[in-house]
Amino acid sequence: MKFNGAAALSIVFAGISLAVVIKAAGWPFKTALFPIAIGVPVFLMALAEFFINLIQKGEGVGDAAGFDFKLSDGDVDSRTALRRTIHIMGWIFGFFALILLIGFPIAIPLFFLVFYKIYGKENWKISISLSAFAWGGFYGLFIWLLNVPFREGLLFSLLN
Amino acid sequence: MLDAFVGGLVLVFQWKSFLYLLLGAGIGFWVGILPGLGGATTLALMMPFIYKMTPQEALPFLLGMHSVVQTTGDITSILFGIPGEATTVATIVDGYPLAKKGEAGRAIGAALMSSLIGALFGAAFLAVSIPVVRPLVLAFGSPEMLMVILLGLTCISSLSGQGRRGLLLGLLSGGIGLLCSLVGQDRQAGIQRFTFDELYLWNGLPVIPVLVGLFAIPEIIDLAVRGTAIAGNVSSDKLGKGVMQGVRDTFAHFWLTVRCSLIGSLIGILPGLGGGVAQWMSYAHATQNAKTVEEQEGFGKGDIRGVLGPGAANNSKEGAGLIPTVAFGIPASSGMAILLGAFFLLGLVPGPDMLTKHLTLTFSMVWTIVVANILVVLVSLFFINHIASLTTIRGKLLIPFLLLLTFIGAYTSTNHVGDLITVLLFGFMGYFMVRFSWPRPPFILGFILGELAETYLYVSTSRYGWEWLYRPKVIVIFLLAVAVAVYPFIQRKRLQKGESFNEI
Repeated sequence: MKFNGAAALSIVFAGISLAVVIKAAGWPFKTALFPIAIGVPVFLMALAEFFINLIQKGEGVGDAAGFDFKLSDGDVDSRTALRRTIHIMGWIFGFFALILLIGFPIAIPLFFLVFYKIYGKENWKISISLSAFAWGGFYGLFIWLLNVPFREGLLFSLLN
Repeated sequence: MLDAFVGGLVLVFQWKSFLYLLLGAGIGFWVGILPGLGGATTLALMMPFIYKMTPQEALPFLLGMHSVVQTTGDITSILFGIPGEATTVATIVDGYPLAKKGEAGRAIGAALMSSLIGALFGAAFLAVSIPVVRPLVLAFGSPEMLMVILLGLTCISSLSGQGRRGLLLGLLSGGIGLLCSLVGQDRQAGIQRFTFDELYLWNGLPVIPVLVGLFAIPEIIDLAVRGTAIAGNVSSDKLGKGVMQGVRDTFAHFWLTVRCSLIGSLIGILPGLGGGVAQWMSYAHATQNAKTVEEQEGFGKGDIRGVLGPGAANNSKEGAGLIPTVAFGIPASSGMAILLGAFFLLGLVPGPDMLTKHLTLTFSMVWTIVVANILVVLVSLFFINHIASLTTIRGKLLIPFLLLLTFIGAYTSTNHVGDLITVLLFGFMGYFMVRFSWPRPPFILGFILGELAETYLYVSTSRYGWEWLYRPKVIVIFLLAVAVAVYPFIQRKRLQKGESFNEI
């Protein structure tokens, strides 16, 4: 028996579907009908998938893998792949946090500049010109042309 | 009838109408390319501009825009693995792997040509079927519509993985999509479900951030892990060369393209289902076209037929979607619902009048779809080499732009900070689904159709009790769903038998 990532994913979804069914049990019939009709089979299937993951030999789903997109882990060694995955997840989360804190208009050029300089190791000329291009495109299309309302960052809201 | 048909064409080429059509198609071109900014949203944004227009000017403008967003939405899906439109997600499955192999030009060529064939098919379908289709639409009540949704989900679940385990994962993924659709205020009793007292969640999880996150984030992470350009180390000369190959591929698989166009049109007429189902049903049909096990396993790794099917279907459904909108005032999709609003603004009332008094105008809509798609495909084919060369840009230079498109695309959905949290949450969920080989297409279908399925289940149960289960049409569609679930097993057995026979 081996508890791996796939088993963890299955048990998380089993837990979510069980929570849906339990919560729905307290609702009136017309609200609870669909959640229960879906939640019960999903719980059973997630549990089945969890046990299959536990008892199967080796990792992955083997022949069952379908036609969805596949990660290209095979192209680089697993250690490098894991390191790069953690790094990029950090950058994605960082961009999100930056947008939240200082808002889109300032976060965009700042993120681009820092990303190109630190992650991309690009020279100043490329970093600055691409950051300016991104900001110009964003401002021209979404603020000037489409008038999309962008909230100011949390930081500015707190300061004000 | 013939007079109205020719009159419709003449109407489209009147200089003012044609100018508005060009303007609309131009806007639609860029809306399709930008992820998140959907055709329906842009239709809504354009509504204030039509107040002073005549129907002959406003309809080419709106329809010219709306009918081409799917065509160019395919380009973004193929090049970056980010859905340009919610209805072009299925194109990613084989289009993006083709781009990674350096065959972006071929994939785009195939997507554009199949889109054009689909659009022409849909327009022709609209032209010939208005008098025929009325009994079909009216014959489908809530129980039948629920079964059609079940059929769509089973179809995509059974084909998104191999064997019993694949079917289990597909159904599980679809079920989780349905569960995610529960978030928000319940339409029957008004009870808040899983909203955590957040106003943002009252209307449910918005579709665009979920779609963009689920598909874009895993691809961006993968691009960073590979450390190369999307097209790897393929030279840019090779990329452009595939364009004509893609066009030829469309004609090599012409009947597949036509069949997928038909699937798109048939689903397009049914209110509520739209491109979300059409693209996946046609993709599933394309995978059934495999003649060997290897061929079948090649889907998802860059099979051109996986691009042709959804490309044709998501365009053909546009013309067909106009049928219930124009003839009965029943919008087939959110875009059509907005267009219906435009009809009223312009003083047009959907129904018999549109098929008698305003028949020339109705046929001008058919011609608008045809002309706008031909123009956009020609322009796209002209610039395709430059567009495809984007896949040779180094990943490190491209990643911030992809992240920007992802976050902006999500944010423009409701302009709420919650959109950013949703995109991040579903982005990481998508990554883990891909990591552990859980298929995402059934999830998307379940999520999009969940609300509709719940309404149909509730209406069926309230109206007929449990007797709706014994309605003949319900039984037939249910048996069809069972057959669809079983068919891949039979097909695989047959293919394996065929192969072992050939080896002997």
